[in-house]
Amino acid sequence: MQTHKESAIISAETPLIANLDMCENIALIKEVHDNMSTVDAESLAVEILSVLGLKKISRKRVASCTKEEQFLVMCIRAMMTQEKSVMIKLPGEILGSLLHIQKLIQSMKKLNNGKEIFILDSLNHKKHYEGCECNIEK
Amino acid sequence: MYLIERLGEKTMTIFRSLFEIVRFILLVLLHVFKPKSYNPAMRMVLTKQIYFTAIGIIPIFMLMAFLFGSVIIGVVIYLSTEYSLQSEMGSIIVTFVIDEFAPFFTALLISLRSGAAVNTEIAIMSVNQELNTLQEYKIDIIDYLFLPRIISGVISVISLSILFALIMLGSGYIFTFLYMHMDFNTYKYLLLNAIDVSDILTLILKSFAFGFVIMLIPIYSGLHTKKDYTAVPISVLNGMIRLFIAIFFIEVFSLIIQSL
Repeated sequence: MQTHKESAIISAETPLIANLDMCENIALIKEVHDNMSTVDAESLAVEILSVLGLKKISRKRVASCTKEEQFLVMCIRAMMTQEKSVMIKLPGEILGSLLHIQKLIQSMKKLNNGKEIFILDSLNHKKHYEGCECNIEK
Repeated sequence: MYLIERLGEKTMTIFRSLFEIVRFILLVLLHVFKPKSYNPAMRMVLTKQIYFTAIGIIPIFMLMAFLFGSVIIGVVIYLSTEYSLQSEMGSIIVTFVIDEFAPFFTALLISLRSGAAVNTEIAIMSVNQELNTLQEYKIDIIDYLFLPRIISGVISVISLSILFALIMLGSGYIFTFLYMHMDFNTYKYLLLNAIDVSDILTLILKSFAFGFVIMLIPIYSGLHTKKDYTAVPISVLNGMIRLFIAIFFIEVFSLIIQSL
């Protein structure tokens, strides 16, 4: 498993930037790390949002999106980084509940860009991940 | 003994925070000269900030410049004629408008409008842990958040001060025409004979200093907000007090330099 420092973190402590819309939140990473122009980075962001059927929220800000939409945008943002893996820490804190976690994991699979995804959660929430096509390690 | 201890403690706190501010200024200046700082995201924030700070304010700014400017220039012209200083009127208008009033009044307006907004924005970002997000995703907060705001502050205050001075000099003509029946050419030559390179330089340097502190102090104050929403108004309050003290010091310092 990669160490914490080699992973792009998704957690309640790394929220989306409130004064940027969803598209800008995603594009920011490419603009800063790959020096990609704003226009190119934003069209890439819209393209990826479209894969998940979230194009409609591309110009919305955090307050106008549901927790699930915010979570998926956070995942896309993490995928944009140059890190080899993505670490999701306690998704329940971001989502409020883990009822739809299986559906969200399926959505994340559509984004597959070769990065390993780790979900760090407490054993109490194990039942929410059962039946999911992923390894559960204690 | 207790009093001496308290005095020493207070002095140490003041020196410590001064040292921290100087360190912060040097860090920001270091980033100004790094080409890597100017990535597309930073340039986009810079464009937006210039729009919000300098362009968005223009209609109300021009109106205020005309209203305040006309009244004050009217008083200056009235007093100079009352004390038989007509021959010095050009120098009085130029010194008062270009060296003093235009940069100072612009600094006050921008502080109240953008300084307070920037302080609140950074404080809320700090409380919301958005600064943590930027750090976690290796986005330099000086490059992305602070540098565009400081550069836009400097550009905005310099350009708006020049605009303010031009409007004030324009309204000065209206007063000289109404009060002294002075024609436009006489007024124009009166100003042209009085104006000096040092006046333009004073306007630009003062505006530069004002623009720098108008953004730097609110950013610094917002950055040091405690992680609680109730700390946001306190942060803005402290930031604004520090900012007005800094503006006062720049004004006094420039007066001392000019009097040498």
